[in-house]
Amino acid sequence: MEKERFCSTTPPLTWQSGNPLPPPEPEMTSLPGADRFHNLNWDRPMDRSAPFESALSSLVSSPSSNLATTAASDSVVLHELICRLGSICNSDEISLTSCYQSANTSCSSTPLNSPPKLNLSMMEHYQQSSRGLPVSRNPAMPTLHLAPFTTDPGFAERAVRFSCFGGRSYGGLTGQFGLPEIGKMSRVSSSQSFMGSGCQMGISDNGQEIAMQEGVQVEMEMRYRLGGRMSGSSTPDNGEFGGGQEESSADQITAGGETSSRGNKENNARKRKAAPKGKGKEAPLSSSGTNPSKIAEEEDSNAKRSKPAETNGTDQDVAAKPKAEQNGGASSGGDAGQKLGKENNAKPPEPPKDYIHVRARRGQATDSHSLAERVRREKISERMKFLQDLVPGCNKVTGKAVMLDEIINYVQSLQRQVEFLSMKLATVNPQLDFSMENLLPKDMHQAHRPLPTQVYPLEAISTAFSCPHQPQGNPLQSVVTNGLENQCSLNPLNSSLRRSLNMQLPPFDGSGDATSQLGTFWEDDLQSFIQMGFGQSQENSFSSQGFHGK
Amino acid sequence: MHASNSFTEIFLKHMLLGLQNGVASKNMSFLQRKRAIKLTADVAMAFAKDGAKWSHALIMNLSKKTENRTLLRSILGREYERLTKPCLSWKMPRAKKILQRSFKMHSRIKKGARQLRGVNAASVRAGAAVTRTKVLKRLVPGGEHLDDSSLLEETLDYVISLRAQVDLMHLLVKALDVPNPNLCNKGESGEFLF
Repeated sequence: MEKERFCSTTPPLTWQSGNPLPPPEPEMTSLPGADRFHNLNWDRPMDRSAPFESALSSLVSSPSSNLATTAASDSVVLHELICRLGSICNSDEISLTSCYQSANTSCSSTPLNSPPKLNLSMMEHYQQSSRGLPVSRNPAMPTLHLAPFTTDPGFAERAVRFSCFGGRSYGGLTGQFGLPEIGKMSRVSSSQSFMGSGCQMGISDNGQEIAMQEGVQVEMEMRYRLGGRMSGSSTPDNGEFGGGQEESSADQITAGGETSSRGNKENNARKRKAAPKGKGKEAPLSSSGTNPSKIAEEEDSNAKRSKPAETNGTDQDVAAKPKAEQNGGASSGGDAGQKLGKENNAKPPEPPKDYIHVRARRGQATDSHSLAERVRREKISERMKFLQDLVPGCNKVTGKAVMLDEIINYVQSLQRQVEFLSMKLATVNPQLDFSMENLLPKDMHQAHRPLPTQVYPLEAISTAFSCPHQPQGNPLQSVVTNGLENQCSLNPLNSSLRRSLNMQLPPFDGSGDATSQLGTFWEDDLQSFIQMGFGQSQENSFSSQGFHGK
Repeated sequence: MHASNSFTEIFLKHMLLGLQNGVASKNMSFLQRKRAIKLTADVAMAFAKDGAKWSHALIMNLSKKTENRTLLRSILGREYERLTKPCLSWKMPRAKKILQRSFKMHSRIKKGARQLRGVNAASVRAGAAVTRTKVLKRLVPGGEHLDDSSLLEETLDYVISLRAQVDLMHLLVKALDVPNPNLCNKGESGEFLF
């Protein structure tokens, strides 16, 4: 939960004044195939928010996003649509949310926090799974509601970075339904920045998950279809179909649309796709079949708009490829500030460029400065996320300033602890002789020593222990040795030390005086340490142990 | 996140080496002793993490004082010369610093003019982050010359290493401390070892 809250608040946390978000440009480009457009609308009679439409159209007309042309061309279309909507969300979240809320009549009222939560949870899930950590969160949180997708670009960026599907072909995603979901989901927000074949599906999957939670059957169908598609089905129609539905659902999610707006989005997306595409794919897809054609159309239109010179073939695969190319071209041409990003191409993966393609989100300035700022902000938010994991008690913290406060406090407390411990070490055993006159315990020879470097610390510790306590040093040394050798970590060492201490070594006489004198002082310091609010029981436990020890 | 095992091993090794050379069997006052131990710990930590900027900066800062140099030499051994040489790659040249300073002053002047129009929440938040970033730059060794994102990265690394240092010193204290049955009864061995 901490991540979601943190990430959900990062958008307002722009380190620099956020780029001014121009109002959505109602670029209702001429959409060929208007008849299909109307058909699609009639299939799902739901309210359409004009701003959303305009936003969608502008999304369509905006330079095509980097579409990873995967084996499944429809995925490209889906991805692009998702990206578009994601950009819409990012740029026009305010306007869109307002219009969504107004249009949200049939859907259950949804708090405005769920998609980020879902995304973040899935993101966490993905990250954890990708890192091999146990997934602690259930990606399909049943209580999620649709909400304006206040995307955290950094979050999406992180997701993309962690995505192992970057640039991979779609086929590689078969059988990994969960991961692609998350990875794709992350793509939604960072769609403009990165292309990810896997991510596309993930986005739609997430959307589908949310839709499922909303109890929409269609979403589930689409999801399964998507999974089926991932498993290798590559008929354009099926792909389009699934893709279209996914995309529409994903669009809803990404745009943070409420359930009611979902229909709107679908309609709009369909409209958008159908009109420009003008392809003959809708024939096999009667009711829901309009989606794929819509997707194809949108893809084509996007391709056309981004590069009129591009000839969008009727085949979506063909369109996907030029789209990917023109994405690269458009991004390179349109974005002055380019940095190397994860550009995954459907075609044979291009050689890694030495600069990042950053796609300008819709409604945001496309000059190099703002793009560079955005990338920088994303990097910063990504690192803040790591720090949030590291600093204890930062789960509920939202906001960069508060987070920085916590980090500063933590670093200061750690530094103070080091000073305190060095003081303690200084008085623990002033007579302790660290000389190398050690009596190596017999066990050291017997035990396995994988690396010779490990012997040294063992010897050193053993000498430290052996000098004041000749008789008892050996068992301690052996225990320490074994502990260190076995796992090369401090945990067994500590446990072994504890065990050895259990052997009732006689107290240090020399240290007793020093400790008694400074005992009260240390107790105060320890108390201050505790009060510093580490917020960790472990801190309290060992500091309280220090009390007992003195 | 945890420090790697190799990190802790190198850390421990050098810490004990430094303790042997610098602290053991020497007549020092309590404060001197404490300072030597802290120095040892810091140097060992920085040396164990040789890839980070903060480690280099820490060693350089510590070597600036002459009284530390012998101890540093003993701990670092051959690496002493390499590590105490200022790394020009990550230190900004003076000209750039001057430019930055002038730019900051210029922006400050602009901000002063802007503030007349009123303060909005975003600017307040931005300002708070800026001041805290400055504080963090002072805390993290070598952080003054870093930009925000790399500063955060160094902070991350530094926090991990600090944690490992604290854990290790705790361990040493426990190992060398007055053995007490109270210390040994509970099994929180792994608790403070993150």
